[in-house]
Amino acid sequence: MRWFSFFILAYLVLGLQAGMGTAMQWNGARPNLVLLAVVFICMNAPRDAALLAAFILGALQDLCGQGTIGLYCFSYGLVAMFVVGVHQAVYREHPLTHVALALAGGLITAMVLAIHGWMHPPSLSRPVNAALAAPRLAALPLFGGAVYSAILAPLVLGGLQRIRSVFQFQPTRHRRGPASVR
Amino acid sequence: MSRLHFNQVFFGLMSLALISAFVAPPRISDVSRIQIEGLFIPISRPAYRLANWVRSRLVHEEPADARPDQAIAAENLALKQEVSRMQMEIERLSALAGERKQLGKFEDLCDRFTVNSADSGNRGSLALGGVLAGLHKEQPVLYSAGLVGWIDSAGVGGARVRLITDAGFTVTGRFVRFQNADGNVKEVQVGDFVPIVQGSGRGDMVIANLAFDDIAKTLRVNDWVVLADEVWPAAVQGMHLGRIVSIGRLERQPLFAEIHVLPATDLTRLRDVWVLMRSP
Repeated sequence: MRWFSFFILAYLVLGLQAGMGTAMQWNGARPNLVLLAVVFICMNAPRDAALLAAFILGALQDLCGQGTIGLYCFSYGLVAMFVVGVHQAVYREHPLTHVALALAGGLITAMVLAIHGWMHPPSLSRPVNAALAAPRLAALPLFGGAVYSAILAPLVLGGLQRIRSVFQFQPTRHRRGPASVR
Repeated sequence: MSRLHFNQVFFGLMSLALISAFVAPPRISDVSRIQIEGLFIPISRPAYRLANWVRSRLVHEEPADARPDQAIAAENLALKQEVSRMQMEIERLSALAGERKQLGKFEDLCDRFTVNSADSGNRGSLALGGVLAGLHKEQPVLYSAGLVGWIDSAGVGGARVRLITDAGFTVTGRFVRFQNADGNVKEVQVGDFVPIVQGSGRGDMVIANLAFDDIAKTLRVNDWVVLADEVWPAAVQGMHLGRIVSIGRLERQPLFAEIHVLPATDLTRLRDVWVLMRSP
């Protein structure tokens, strides 16, 4: 994979996510363009590069937001492990593949964020009354965001698939099976 | 790098991320946080402006005040007259006290900053751009209609504002109502409650520390909540936090009230904000 192209993609999607994510929200559900970039890289890149790229995208998104450091790294690492595991078995050009992978990735991310929100509610800016806990982050918008991202996936991933030559993904080498030995 | 070697490295990175996110307290994991929002300004700022412009064209926001335009215009006029009268009164009193030099416009205490983007995750925050010298943690951030939040982190690469609507943001306030008496609009404090106003994380704020029976006959929808919190500087006391949009019983503790407070505008769509840099 050409890493220079990857970092340009990362720069663009993180900038767009920070700029447009909130304005595009619907009932609190925000699309996650960075997640779509993770799915795109993991669909096409060799395993090791895909895992590392997903982790880097997560780290950058963690640094760009106000949330806990490591949360998106971990989420996208899990998403990458899932997508890399199935990408040989799917037709990468088909819009349904894009929807399914983005939905699965979005649900994994939402699950991690929801568990984190449940375990560690946002910190109080100052403790006024010990009896009042900080409100937990609502889980529904997180899962709504997964569906929103999946709806956008054919558009975004379809567009990225058309320019994937820019990334110079090397074809994944297959291990020879018993049939080819014969 | 061999496959086995890479697996070990990746497993190590994932373990670090897991510990940082779920185990380590924020004060430790935040040590590794660096302000990199500023790097994305060439993309995030035009995208933020464009997306908000498109949204303002496509999404019709419900007016915050449902009264007829004429009633609002009449109230505006009365308020202007009242402000003018009070300005004269202040000038007369300050001249009497010989402290005129010390009294300046409130705007003189603040510096203006451009908003680059909102939060890239799922929290309520804004990233500021421009020359960020002089910014430090917990400085009040304002806009034309009231309080936005405070500076949560500031560095060379950017500064982040935690919004009053972000989950966990907590201030104390008081309730006020505007009444028209003898042609003058007066601000009247409603009750002597001390509401604890918490951001809900969904664009509004919630008050859940008051007994329902105490407030049921006193408070009304459209009453204002203003800042009254000794932790904040005197210059921002009385700043508008939002107006009451609903009063009900708290689901998990029915003896308590759940009061929802909405800011005058969607704080994640502001273009510019003011940061209180100096004290009067």
